[in-house]
Amino acid sequence: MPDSSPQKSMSPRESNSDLRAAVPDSVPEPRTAASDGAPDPRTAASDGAPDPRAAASDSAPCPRNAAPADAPGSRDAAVQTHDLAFSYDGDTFVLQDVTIRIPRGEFVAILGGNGSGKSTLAKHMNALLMPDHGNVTVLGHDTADEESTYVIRSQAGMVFQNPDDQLVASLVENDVAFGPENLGVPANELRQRVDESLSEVGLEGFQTRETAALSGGQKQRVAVAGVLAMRPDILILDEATSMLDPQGRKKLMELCHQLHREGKTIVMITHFMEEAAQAQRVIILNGGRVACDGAPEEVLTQSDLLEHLNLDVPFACTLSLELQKRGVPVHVHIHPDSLKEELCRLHSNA
Amino acid sequence: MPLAFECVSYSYDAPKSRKKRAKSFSRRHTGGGHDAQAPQANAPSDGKRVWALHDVSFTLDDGEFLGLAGHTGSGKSTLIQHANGLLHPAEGHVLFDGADLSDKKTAQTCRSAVGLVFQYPEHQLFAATVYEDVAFGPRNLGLDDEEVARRVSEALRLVHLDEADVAQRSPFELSGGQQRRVAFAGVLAMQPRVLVMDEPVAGLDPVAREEFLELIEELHRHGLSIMMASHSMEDLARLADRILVLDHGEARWLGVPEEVFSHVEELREIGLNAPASQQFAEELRHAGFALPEKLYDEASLADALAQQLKPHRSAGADDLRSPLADAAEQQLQSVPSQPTSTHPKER
Amino acid sequence: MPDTALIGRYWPGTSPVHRMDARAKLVLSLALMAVTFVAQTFWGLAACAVFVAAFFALSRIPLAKALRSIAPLAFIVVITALLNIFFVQGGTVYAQWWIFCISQAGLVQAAFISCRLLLLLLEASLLTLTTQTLDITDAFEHLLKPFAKLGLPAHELSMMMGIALRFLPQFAQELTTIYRAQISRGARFSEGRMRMLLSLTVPLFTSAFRHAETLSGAMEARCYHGGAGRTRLHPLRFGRIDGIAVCVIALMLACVIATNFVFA
Repeated sequence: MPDSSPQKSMSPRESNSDLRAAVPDSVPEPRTAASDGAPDPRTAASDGAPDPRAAASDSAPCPRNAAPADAPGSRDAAVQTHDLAFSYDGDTFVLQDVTIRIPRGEFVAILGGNGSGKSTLAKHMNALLMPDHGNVTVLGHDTADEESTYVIRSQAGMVFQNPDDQLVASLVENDVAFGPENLGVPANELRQRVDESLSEVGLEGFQTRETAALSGGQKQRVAVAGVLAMRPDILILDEATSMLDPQGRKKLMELCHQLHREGKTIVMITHFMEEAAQAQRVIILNGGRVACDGAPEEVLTQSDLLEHLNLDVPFACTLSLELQKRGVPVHVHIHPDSLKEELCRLHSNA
Repeated sequence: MPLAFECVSYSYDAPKSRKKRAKSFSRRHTGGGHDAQAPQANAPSDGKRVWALHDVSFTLDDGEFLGLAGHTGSGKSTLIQHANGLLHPAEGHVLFDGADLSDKKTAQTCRSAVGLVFQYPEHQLFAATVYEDVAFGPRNLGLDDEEVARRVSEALRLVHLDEADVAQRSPFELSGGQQRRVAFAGVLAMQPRVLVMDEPVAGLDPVAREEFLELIEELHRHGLSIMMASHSMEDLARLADRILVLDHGEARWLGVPEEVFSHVEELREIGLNAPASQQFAEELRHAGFALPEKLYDEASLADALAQQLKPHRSAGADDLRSPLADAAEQQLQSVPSQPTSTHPKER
Repeated sequence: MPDTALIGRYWPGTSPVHRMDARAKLVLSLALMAVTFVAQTFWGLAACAVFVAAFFALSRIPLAKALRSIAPLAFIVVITALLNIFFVQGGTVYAQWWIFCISQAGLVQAAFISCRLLLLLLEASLLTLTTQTLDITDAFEHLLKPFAKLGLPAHELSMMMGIALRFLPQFAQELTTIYRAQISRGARFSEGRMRMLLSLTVPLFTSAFRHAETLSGAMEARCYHGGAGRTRLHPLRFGRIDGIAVCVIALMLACVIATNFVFA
């Protein structure tokens, strides 16, 4: 498992500081609807942007470290890191100069190749790791403050990659209860929390099922329920979809959207572009530094940059770029549906 | 025709496998891959069999690349373990060069000719050095030291690992992607004619995945017959000559990718997503585009769409142009440099 | 994976046996086994068998399931029976070959020991079939509590036991995969060479460490910090059923002792 020893899994490509230095210079102007100055109001409006910020944002190619310098500890930030640096062995830094601010209620995707430090960053948001330098605050609590460790862990629940390695108990209900049990929640309330969390993730009636007999996707949803039972504000998913098949992945994504609508902050670590495209904001890590931070419409349409960072380009974006090459007047999309809409319009006009 | 499956059926509840279960501890747990769990978990005790594989027939031709698609629990892993005689069909036969694998001797010779790469093969590394690990297979074949050394170098070269650099290092200090290469080399050092792989790129990031797919393609070009199970229909569309789709242990389709992926809807019903470009083409067809049925990638789909959207213009039918499209086109022309780099998907 | 637990994987249910307090059940299961040892005659064993059958009926576990749960350990019964048949001598001799001698006493003794072993296995599986591992480990922890004052890490021990039990099926499965993968690379385990053994054990251990590392992270992330201040979804509570169970076991003991005297 590459993530158990991130300092070793750094590929030479990613630890190459020359490349990192070169990235910002080679960033091309994004050809998004928003930054093109919206030639056609109809197309721009229907660009499939889930977040109004995207259309309103200025045309800066890639706002690096866009976090406004809020006073640390402000309550409306779900997670805030300041100059975060971390190394497992005191030698190679897995994270460096990471300053980000995730407001409450935001749906953020954190992208990066293996060894980019994305999982390490996630573990800092849950006080599983302490920064070597700088600080991390979660809902106003400093993770370095031992007193608030359990507040942070209950408020920023984490779902891990491997469905088999995070379920503690052999029965679903016992596993879901594990978190609140540790928090000392009284027995009668435990039952209520377990039942609520299970119906929240769409697994009503699974209380006495054995965890071992569930599918990978179901196990991950049990893990989400186990986190929800602690009544957290923030849900951190550390590559939680990477070991699932397409169906399980889709269901888990739907669940994330549902929880986001209910007001939870979602931090999703992933290397699937199609998933990142569904977020409100995308942060790309490369070699332990923030390489890019912005709305998916801005970030994910920069195919050259993404390739520099060893990432895939979303399908809709590749296809729109290919169409542009062939002189078809389309905007660059990241959602297939919005691209389809625009193509249909062109088709009916043609 | 190195491998042929003839009406192969297998059940984790079948008497044949049950006998084996009693024989040894490790064999008792017949649920090898996770694919096996589903049919096993609901195996009824009243003697009614649940088939992990049912009546599957196909052949793997020399030099062919056969893709194996199926949802979790469809029987992919079970099928793969039949390919070198690890599992024996309850009914039907698996033939290797015409000889039945149920024969112990044939199965033994077949093990070196059919290289099997399990899911997450790096989890099976064990030796103190990369060299020792890769040499495990050839040594088991009883080869002399010189030949073993030759095969190890050859195998490491095939997976693009620098022998001088890694051979004496512990496999456990390598990165995840490199570990998988070592595991691959361990199988290639047996010099198999057929390579059978279960989700060879699972859990890799996009770059490592791409490098691995290229590696597999290269091995195929060198003449290895390949059978590869994958969740990713994109990968199968790109690499496979033919694709076998399994659903609940039964073969649903067997054919060239464009044929198999024309069943976008049916594939979705059995939990598989056709490649993104194929799905998109299907959606556009529903929306009234006249796209011919063929296998698309992003580039060829863009070609077809461009033709659809531009014929009037190229014919000079200016009166048909909408002012809106005009404006949009002008806007786009003002956009500077078009992307120049080619990326992996648009080979 | 119905067969992957060594003895009796939990069979969900709401019967009185399922509802018993895990501590009481653990202690009474041990008592049940002790009573079985007290029986000195076939009649005593028969009495035990009647009670055990009644317990299984009460817990609504199908007989086939119960027998299947002990099947993996049946070889112990067979081996003990064979040893007794061949080496215990006395009474009429039916056959003799080299140092082996099949005699009446041997056959009787073999039958007796096999029946007793079978009963013991069934009794053990009754506990594991009707009690979740988490409850067993919890009960274990409670019973060890008096020793905690002497410095015994009762909570940690039981947590370790619970996790080991929870991962056992997974390890069994991984071992199968590793075994098959090495077979595919031409390994021949019948030769039992060191390298072959290592090719199984090293991957198994590395996978155990890998699991342990991620699991401990996942547990920490869910606020686990040892037993202090933990509440329970199913708190252990002695109830009327437990009292009744104590009486039933006492009755069973009386019956067995009675058979010892009557049929001595």
